[in-house]
Amino acid sequence: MLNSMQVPAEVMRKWQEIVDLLADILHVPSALIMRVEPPNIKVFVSSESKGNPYEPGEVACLNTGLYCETVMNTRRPLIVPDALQDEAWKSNPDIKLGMISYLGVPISWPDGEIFGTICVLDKKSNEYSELYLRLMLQWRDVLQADLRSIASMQREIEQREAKIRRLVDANIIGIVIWNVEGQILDANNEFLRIVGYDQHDLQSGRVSWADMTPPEWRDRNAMTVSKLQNKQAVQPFEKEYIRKDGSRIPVLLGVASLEGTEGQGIAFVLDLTERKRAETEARESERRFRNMQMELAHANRLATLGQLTASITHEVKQPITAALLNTQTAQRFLTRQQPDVERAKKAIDRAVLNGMRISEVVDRTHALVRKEPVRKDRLEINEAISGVIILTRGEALKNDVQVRTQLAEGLPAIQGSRVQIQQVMLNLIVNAIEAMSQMSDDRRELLISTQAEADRVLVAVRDSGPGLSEDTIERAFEAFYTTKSSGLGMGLSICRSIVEDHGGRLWATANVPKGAAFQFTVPINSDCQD
Amino acid sequence: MVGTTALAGSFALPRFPMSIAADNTDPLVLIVDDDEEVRFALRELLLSVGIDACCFGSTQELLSADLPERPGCLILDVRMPGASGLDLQQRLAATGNTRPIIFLTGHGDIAMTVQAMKAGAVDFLTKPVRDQTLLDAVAAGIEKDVAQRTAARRIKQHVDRYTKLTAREREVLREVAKGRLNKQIAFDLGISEITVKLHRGNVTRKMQATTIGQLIRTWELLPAGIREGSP
Ligand SMILES: Nc1ncnc2c1ncn2[C@@H]1O[C@H](COP(=O)(O)OP(=O)(O)OP(=O)(O)O)[C@@H](O)[C@H]1O
Ligand SMILES: [Mg+2]
Repeated sequence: MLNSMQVPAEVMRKWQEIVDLLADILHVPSALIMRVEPPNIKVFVSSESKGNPYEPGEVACLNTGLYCETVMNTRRPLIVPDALQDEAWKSNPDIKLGMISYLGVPISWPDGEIFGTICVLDKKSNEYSELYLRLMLQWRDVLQADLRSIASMQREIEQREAKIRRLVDANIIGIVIWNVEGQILDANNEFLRIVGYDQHDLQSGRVSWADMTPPEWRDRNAMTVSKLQNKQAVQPFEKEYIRKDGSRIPVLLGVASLEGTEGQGIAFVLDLTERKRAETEARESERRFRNMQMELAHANRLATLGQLTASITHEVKQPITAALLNTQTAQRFLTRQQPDVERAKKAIDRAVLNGMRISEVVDRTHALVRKEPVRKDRLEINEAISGVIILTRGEALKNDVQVRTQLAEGLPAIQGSRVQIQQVMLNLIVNAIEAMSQMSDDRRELLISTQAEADRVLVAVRDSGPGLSEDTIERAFEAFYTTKSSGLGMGLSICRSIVEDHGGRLWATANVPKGAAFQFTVPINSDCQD
Repeated sequence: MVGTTALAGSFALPRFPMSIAADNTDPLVLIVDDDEEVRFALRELLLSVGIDACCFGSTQELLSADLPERPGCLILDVRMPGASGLDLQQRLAATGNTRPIIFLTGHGDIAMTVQAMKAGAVDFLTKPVRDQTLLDAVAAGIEKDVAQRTAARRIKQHVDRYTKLTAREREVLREVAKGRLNKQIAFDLGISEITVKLHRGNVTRKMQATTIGQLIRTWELLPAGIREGSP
């Protein structure tokens, strides 16, 4: 593994310097760094010195009795002062080059594997003093330190590559290498899955991002490529690809140019189908929720108004009675023996007035019965509240409830839905009347008040009924909490969601000296002040 | 006949028509309704046929008012704040006020109607009501009241005359009314038959009867308490 490793250029330059110095200091023609590349051994670095016959890159076969072979096998330094005088070295291959003396030490990789040797050779006999050997060992250590750092650098690169590979092979996101000509040069399986192509299509060069890009995206693509060429960063963006089968698929695309390549880039591609579907679903369920809320609110209004029908009928019958009597009276005044036009006219005026009263009550009721989308307009809250008080007056009367109002004058307008605010009031008032009608003979008083607070309007509905205990005061706002045989328990929970939807708060407290007090706030909208 | 006096321009209703005089004996209708418009409309309708009316916004207002002694009837809304029309009917009956009552209601249920009619209401009308229906009911109410008052006046005359009789004369009258003969009366009272005849003549004269039959009917019209209360 390590054996095949590249030695970086700057290390090579340093090693060259070392062998040059070595040759110079020891006054020898050759100083070499040899590297094994089984089955050969290669001149890795060779000193630039006079009379040096070894060229860098020269290769010799192993197992031929080279000095270096012995050094590598024994892993020990070797000194041969004069091969011609030595039986063991008399016929080694270097003698042919005239090299009869040798000093060499082994070089190892950090994992102990042999790298090669560092050695000097001379054409004359040479004793190579102890000092020289020590010098060689020193150099050797320097070289091994270099190998160590090369090895650890290599390990780092490998780990990084492994991580990237893991990312690519995990196929969580699609990854491609592309070029500006429009081709996909490489892609992982996830990418192929997204666009519906296979490995075979990829290898035959049939996968082209230019072809996969729908026409309406071409301009955007061109812009991205030119941005990349100007080394500008490109934000990930959403687009669509045309798949092999012609269908379209929404994706998120992040692109970057590849350093050191001409017109190539890398891109990650995320399949957005799921997310788009979830978004659509969320929108759909939000819509359904809104619809349901509207239905519910409508049902609650109908139910609450239903409780009031008798009273509202009375409320309409009064002006109808008056108007009918008025007109019949006018007829009588006119058809008498001595017609009284003055009085007849007055009666007709009153008939008209009562006619308008009828239409007001009907309008008011109708507005609450209608089912229509909620619109938040500029709203005078006192006026909206008064409408509800008129509708519930009959009910109060029937239950012997005295209604008092304290509506502050000159209240700022709010931004709100009339029908919703009226619905809240309707529920609170009906609740109060119902609560008080359980009480036997006590005075039944309903106080409805409004007042301005810093940046909001405060509305309070107070009754003299049984009130709410400490632990029911919050439960009362829960949906389906009711103590009434015919109640749904939806009233207060709908009221609270309406008020909160208006940016306000609805809460209950004990009233003084007795009963319950329901209060809510609605923020003043400065936009709708005149 | 009163009532054509034009009202001042405002809609404020004076409680009594302006032309009421203390000794007026024309019919007067009392209207009790919490709705001012309905009150006004009813009063004007009655006015158009020449009947005086005065209006009250609640039963309390009516009860605390000093009502003139004039024949007439009441038009009452059943449902009003405070005491209801039915309550008022009971209160009035308890105080001997016998004015006939016409009930007006937004939605008359049967139970309520029965209760009201049992307590002596002359009619029970639902809103909205036709003018003629209402006027007919009012006319019937007034007629009933006038008759009641005439009868009451006659009885009062009889009572007045009866109180002028001496104790003995009352005894004789009671016995005569029982259909007993002078002889029997004389025996029972321990007086002579002549004396009985004398008393009997005085009684007939004082009671302003011309025949014995008339005398007996007059006796029977006297309130029971007075008849029995005699010694
Ligand atoms: N003013 C009040 N005084 C005392 N208790 C109250 C008052 N208002 C509400 N409550 C209690 O809170 C409960 C819930 O009220 P809510 O209006 O939510 O439902 P509901 O009136 O029972 O039924 P519905 O759905 O018809 O309104 C009531 O049943 C009652 O017990
Ligand atoms: Mg409720």
